[in-house]
Amino acid sequence: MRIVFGLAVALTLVSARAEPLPRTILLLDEDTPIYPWFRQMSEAFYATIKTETANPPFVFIENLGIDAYATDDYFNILRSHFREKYRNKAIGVIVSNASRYLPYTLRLRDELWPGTPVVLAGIQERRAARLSLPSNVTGFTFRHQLQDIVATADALIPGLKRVVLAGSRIQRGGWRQDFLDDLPDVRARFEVIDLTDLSLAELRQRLTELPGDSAVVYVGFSTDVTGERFLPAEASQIVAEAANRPTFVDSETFIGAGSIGGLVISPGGIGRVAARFALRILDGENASDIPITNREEILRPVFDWRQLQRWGISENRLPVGSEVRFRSPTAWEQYRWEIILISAVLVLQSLLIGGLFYEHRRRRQAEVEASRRMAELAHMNRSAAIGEMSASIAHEIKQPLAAIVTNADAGLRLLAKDAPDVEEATRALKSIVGSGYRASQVVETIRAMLKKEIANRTLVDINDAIREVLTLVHIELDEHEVLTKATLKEGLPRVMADPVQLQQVIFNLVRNAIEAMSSTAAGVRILQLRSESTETGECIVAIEDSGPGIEPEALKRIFEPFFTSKSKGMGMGLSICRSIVEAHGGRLSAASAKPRGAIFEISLPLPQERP
Amino acid sequence: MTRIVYIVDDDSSMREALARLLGTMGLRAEAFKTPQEFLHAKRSDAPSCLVLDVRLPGLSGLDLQRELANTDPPIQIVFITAHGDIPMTVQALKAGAVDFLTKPFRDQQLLDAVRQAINRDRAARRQWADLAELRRRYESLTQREREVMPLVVIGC
Repeated sequence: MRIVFGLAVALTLVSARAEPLPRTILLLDEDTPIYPWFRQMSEAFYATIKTETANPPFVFIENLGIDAYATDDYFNILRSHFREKYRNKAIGVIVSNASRYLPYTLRLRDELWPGTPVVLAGIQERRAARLSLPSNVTGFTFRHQLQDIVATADALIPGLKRVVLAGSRIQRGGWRQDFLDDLPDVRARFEVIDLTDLSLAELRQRLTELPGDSAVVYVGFSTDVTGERFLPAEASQIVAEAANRPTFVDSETFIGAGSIGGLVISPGGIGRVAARFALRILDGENASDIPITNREEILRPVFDWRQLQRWGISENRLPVGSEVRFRSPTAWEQYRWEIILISAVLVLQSLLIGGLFYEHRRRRQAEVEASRRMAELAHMNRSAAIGEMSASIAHEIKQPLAAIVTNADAGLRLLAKDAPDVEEATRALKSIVGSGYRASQVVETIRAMLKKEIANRTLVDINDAIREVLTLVHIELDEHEVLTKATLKEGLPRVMADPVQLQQVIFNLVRNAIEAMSSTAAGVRILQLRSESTETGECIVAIEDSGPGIEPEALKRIFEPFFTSKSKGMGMGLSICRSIVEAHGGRLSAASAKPRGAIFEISLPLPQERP
Repeated sequence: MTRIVYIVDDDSSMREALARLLGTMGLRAEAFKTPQEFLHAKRSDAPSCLVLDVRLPGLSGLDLQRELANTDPPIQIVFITAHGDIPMTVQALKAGAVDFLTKPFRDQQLLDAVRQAINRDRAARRQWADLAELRRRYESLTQREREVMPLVVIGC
């Protein structure tokens, strides 16, 4: 026995009755509180009592345990127990879910609480129809038909041909006794495989071998043929898990234990309706005046989402108003913030990477541009310098030459006269000599000027100089699709040189090589750079191209000033290069390369090692 | 009458050589080192011309040509240069130069150019002299005579 809840009894009643009923309810359950059925029913009952009235009545609950102990002795013991227990407690309404043991309940009432109104909480429709009820008893019914369960299965499973009944044997007097009457109707439409007369082990075995067009209907499993007892709710799980086809059930208490669900009887629904009936009576209605009616809300389509997934049943097939339980939250529902956060991080990261790539590209472009401009500038400087220098060299040399020519002309005329003016002609010739020396001096001055520029001598790593030049011209090399091979000997001793001038020479020779290869086919434009040291204490830099090479005639004159094989150019480049190299105490030579092309070799003296 | 060739060249040996060459042709040469010296010198009324170097310290030959354009009659110029380019030549010739010679040049080239320049100068001088005589005569007329003269000219 257990008393769940107590409240002071209020005696304010609005009623037509002469004597108001005590505000107490006795809830009688025919079995034990271990069944989920009772738990769900009593919780809903109690919750409704609490919420639907401002003055909740006191509720006594008794689990009669009749199923296990239905004997006369037991009844007598129970009766004396209750008599003692409720001696000083008035009961307003008795609510009983003891539908199968209704006579037992009514007998208790008549002997202990005569005349007390009774609410029969949830009787199967057909069972109620067979009852003849005494006065002051009301209640409500629900529909419980095998056809309804099978129809639900039929709606969910396309092409359903076989219905498998799984559970204990359906017995007259049992809770599902009316299913026996329903069977012929079901058999008319489906093949019925009856697995209700087996041991649990056999049942499980059979359930694994069901044909594909079948559905299992669980009809409760409390005792198997061997006499072993089970809790039907637990047994439903065993059945549903063993079955290779979906299992349909008829009670809400089986939902969530492996079955797919179905049109189920809701104990909670029974509890709620029963509470409302009890309250009505406590509020003054006469139980005999309340007709016994069928309550549709007790029967509800409830399904297990996980099982729908397992059997691949679309929710579209479910009956209207179905409740789907155990829907596992989607990843989005479950990890919304994590997903948002991770996505945001990823987006930011992508943006960052994109940004960096963009920056990198821009920077690379800027570098290429800068490098190109630098090369252009270097070229322009060189051209401008050479142009200017050649103009002034020309002017400086032409000036004495003009004086020489003019004096010579004058001398010739003086001597050609009838009376030759030898004296004046002599002066002219002397002037010519002076101008000749002057011209020579101009040339000497230019040479001295060039030499003077080589004052900035330091120890230079020749390989560094080559690499720097290659950096400077790599755009041009790319543009002209020239393949560059540099064979630089590491560990070369450094040479004493003006680094800028040395680079100018290498730069010039590389540019000449590129220009020389402009007529060569694109695939075979090869520029080879080589550095090495000789045993004679010299450092060699060779620049070889794969161009057409140099004519033997041209080869002799190639270092002469103003000699050029190019359409553009003063012909000063190589001569300046040679004078720079020579000013460094080295040599610059040109030769034809094999099988084609030209090779220019700079050899510079290595500084003497000091002991 | 002695024909005079003025020379402006900063190179002394060139000045000397030019004077010598021109002397062989019976031309009198007067040489100046700078344009300023030439501008300050007193010039003769004899037929003359100027042999002018382009590249000079201070005022350039072309600058001097521009300075002299306003003299009456304008002096005829033969340019000589060690380093001439086309724009320079065009500018000089458009401004009325007789010739543009590049150093070193043949004696005949110079002599031809100088002769041509002196002939032009002589013609210009004659024209200028005629005009001066006319102007002198006109100035000698009385006020009344000056009023009558235009009528006589048009044949009234």
